[in-house]
Amino acid sequence: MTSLLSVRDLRTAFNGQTVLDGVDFDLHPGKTLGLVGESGSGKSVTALSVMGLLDRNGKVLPGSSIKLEGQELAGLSERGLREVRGKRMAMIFQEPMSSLNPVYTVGDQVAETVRKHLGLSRRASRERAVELLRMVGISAPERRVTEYPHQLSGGMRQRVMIAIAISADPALLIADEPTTALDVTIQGQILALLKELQERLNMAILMITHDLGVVSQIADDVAVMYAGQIIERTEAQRLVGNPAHPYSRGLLASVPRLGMDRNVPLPSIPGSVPSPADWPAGCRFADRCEFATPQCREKPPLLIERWPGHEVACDHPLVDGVPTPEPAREVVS
Amino acid sequence: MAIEVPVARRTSLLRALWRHRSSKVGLILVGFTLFVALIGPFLVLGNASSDPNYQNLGQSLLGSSGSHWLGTDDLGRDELVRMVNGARYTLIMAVAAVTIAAVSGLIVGAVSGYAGGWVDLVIQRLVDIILSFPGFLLALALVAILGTGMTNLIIAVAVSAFPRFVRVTRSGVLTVMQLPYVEAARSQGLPPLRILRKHVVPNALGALIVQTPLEIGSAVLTGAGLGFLGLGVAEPTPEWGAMLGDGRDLLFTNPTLVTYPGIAIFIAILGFNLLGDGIRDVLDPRHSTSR
Amino acid sequence: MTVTEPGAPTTGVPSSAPLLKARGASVEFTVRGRRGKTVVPAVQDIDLDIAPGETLGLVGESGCGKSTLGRALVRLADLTRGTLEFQGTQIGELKGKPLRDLRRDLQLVFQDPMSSLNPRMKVRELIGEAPLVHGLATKDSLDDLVATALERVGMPRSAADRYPHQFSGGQRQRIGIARALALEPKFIVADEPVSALDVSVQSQVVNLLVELQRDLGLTYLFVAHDLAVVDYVSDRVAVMYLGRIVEIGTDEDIRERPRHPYTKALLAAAPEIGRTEAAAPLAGDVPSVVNPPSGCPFRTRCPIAEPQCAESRPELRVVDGHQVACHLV
Repeated sequence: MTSLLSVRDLRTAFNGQTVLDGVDFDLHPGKTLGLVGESGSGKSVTALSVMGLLDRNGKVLPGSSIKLEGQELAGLSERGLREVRGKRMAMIFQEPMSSLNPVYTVGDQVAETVRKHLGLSRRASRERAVELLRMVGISAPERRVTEYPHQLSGGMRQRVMIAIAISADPALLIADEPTTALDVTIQGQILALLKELQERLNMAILMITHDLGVVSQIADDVAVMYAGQIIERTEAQRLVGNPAHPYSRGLLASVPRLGMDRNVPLPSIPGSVPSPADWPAGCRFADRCEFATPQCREKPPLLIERWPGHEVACDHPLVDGVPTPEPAREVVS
Repeated sequence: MAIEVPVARRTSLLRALWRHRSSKVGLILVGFTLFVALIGPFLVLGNASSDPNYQNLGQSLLGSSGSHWLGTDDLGRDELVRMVNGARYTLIMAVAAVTIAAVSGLIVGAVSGYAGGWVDLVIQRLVDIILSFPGFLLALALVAILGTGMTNLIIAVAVSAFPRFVRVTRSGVLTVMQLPYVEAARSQGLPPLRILRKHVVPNALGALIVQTPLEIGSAVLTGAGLGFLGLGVAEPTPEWGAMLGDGRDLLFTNPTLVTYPGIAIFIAILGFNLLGDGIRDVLDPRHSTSR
Repeated sequence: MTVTEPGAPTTGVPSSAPLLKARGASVEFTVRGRRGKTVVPAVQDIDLDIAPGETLGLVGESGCGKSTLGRALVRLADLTRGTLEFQGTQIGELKGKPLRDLRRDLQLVFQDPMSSLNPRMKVRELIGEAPLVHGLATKDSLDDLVATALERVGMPRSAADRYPHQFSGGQRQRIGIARALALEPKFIVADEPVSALDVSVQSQVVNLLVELQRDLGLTYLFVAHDLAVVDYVSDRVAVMYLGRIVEIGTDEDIRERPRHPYTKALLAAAPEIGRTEAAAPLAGDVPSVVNPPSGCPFRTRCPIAEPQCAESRPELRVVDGHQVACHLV
């Protein structure tokens, strides 16, 4: 299967400080890839690098490759990117309020995007806007088009953002923490909507999130990021069931579940994510890893496919929660 | 749990300003003006004409020469000596007036914002009334009432700058008071005045610090304007505005007599304005437009 | 279960006298807008007893009034109606110095550990300022007090000489907790104390809070939107919707025997790892508190609502050993 989005050795720096350090992944048409990590892992920078939306201090370094449907986006001019953005790939954000213009009505904002990308007339784009709003589950869209963003709830605003994003029928939707700012009962609605639209439009989704629950609900594949690198990548259900990297395992274990006993402390990962200036020389997780050996601190592990369809960047990957004893550099089984 | 704490990367404000292009120019211009005001009068000492008020009618209206670098005025006074001595009057006036305005504006604005209610209402209406007069006219009217002279000039300029400091401080205080750490201070049972002094005001000073150099620049202008109209410090004090006014009648025959004080006023104001803009950019890099 | 007093919660409250007692507690905000004044009833008619040493969890979605209720209980939001009693003393009307003295006993841990620490103060002053003002320490003993407070939350003494921006989010939250503890409070409201933190750090801070309670005999009101965290730390859990408590019971009651349709929906909506299909999401949006629906506030989103739900608002009553406000259970 040819991939829709193919990212190779993506490196991004802010003011000369590298924050993304060689990210590789593929996203296939109509599939969802979950990009999981904590703050400072580089997951959002990855999304912004792909979209070409880094602020002026950020720069994708030479040698990086971002291919969308075979077209190289890294190094493309702002004008070239504008051709791609919105039409073939679109993005939604955590806080929809800051992406919507408070002085225009919702209808105007959706219609404007439609007119820009599809070249429809004023009237036709207006009709299309109503249709799009209906598609994203906004009731009475004919009435809603005349409302302003502040008159809508958080969930409604996110729906409007989704309507704008899908207006040109993009092949790729990048969703950066789209449910984090929403209440749990609304989160479920938005996730269900994204899934429904994906099937209808055959759209690939790159889902950026810190929430493993969200990932396991919506993603086909998952890439876990830590300190600017992907450290584990496999099918979502496999990652959730058999995490091989100690960090993935720690992350999964630290999510509280209903019915846990208060007399047993919650599993947690000691310490905190190192900032880019303090990235250790060897494995970047070694300082927080209970299984780390002296060798781990010396040589950075490579992201290797150790099981079919399961890559992990750890010299002692876990099998059923137990580290493999020998630093195995070759493929196991 | 091992705790790694990054070392502080705080750079001093001065160094940051030096790195910022426009405020660097501002620093140089303000520094130059200060230098002239402090040291200048000693450098031009040496002969009789180094007294700014030494008249020598036989040497009036001379052009530039080795003994009078910038020439002399209609009373034969050395233009350079008068300019250099004038820097002191202008700066003392502007800095003193703005300091008074800033300190009193800070106190009144902080109380107004923190107290709220009718205290705030009364203070804000008074400020509105003062602000409804154009600043220069207000200063002019005050000088007309109080009479000329350095002290009265300072009072007049301070009063016209005061309401802007009240406004700036009040809005800063109102913003900071919304922040959780002020609620935290309240939840810790700290007395209101202490919260205002230690938690609110220090964090609300940003806008006031930006405003101060801009106000000094505008005070230089107001002072010069009053001097030009003959309402500043008493003759024959070599104040820049007054020098401009003196040279007005000779504008067509001896244009340098207005040009030099004009340039001095321009340099001082430009310097303070660039400095103010630079401070704003340095304190809040998001507002940076050009570097 | 015997009802000792009308309106008193009847479930899970240990027999000892409550540390904190609220009756009919309501908080309203007045918002001045274009169309004149609007009264926002953020919290309405709350009856609550909190026993010494217990943790009461408070869950609900944004805007349900849970943070406002937490603030009202520590007198950071004023009650517009109702009474508040702490250790048998009425505290609802206290002002000035007596109120400031009371604040030693009632502390708050904030959601955002960055904006709740004054950026211009070193940790020593952040933690030590209030103990100095309250006379719990002298200038000479202050260093010891700060060091003890820091060590209690797992931070080194050397942290005292640094500024908040020099710490990570989790460390800042520890400093915030140390600041609250330095006053030796009896009751702490933790307002979403971990929701601004990364997952791997959240559990560190939750563990710390639980451990501190055990060691110091603290009483908590733990406010959060994450039902799993609340379930873990709490003895009892109260569920809020549109300013009112709709269900309250032990953590087990709420987890295993939820009766209110909203509680059930919250439980079902919580994203769970390993579940591939999302639960049927609750339809619609949370209505505005300013314009609540008639009758039961939840009826507009309730999957089992009936005509009678629009007519009268259900009061809390005992069902299945805990309290539920629903006509249909």
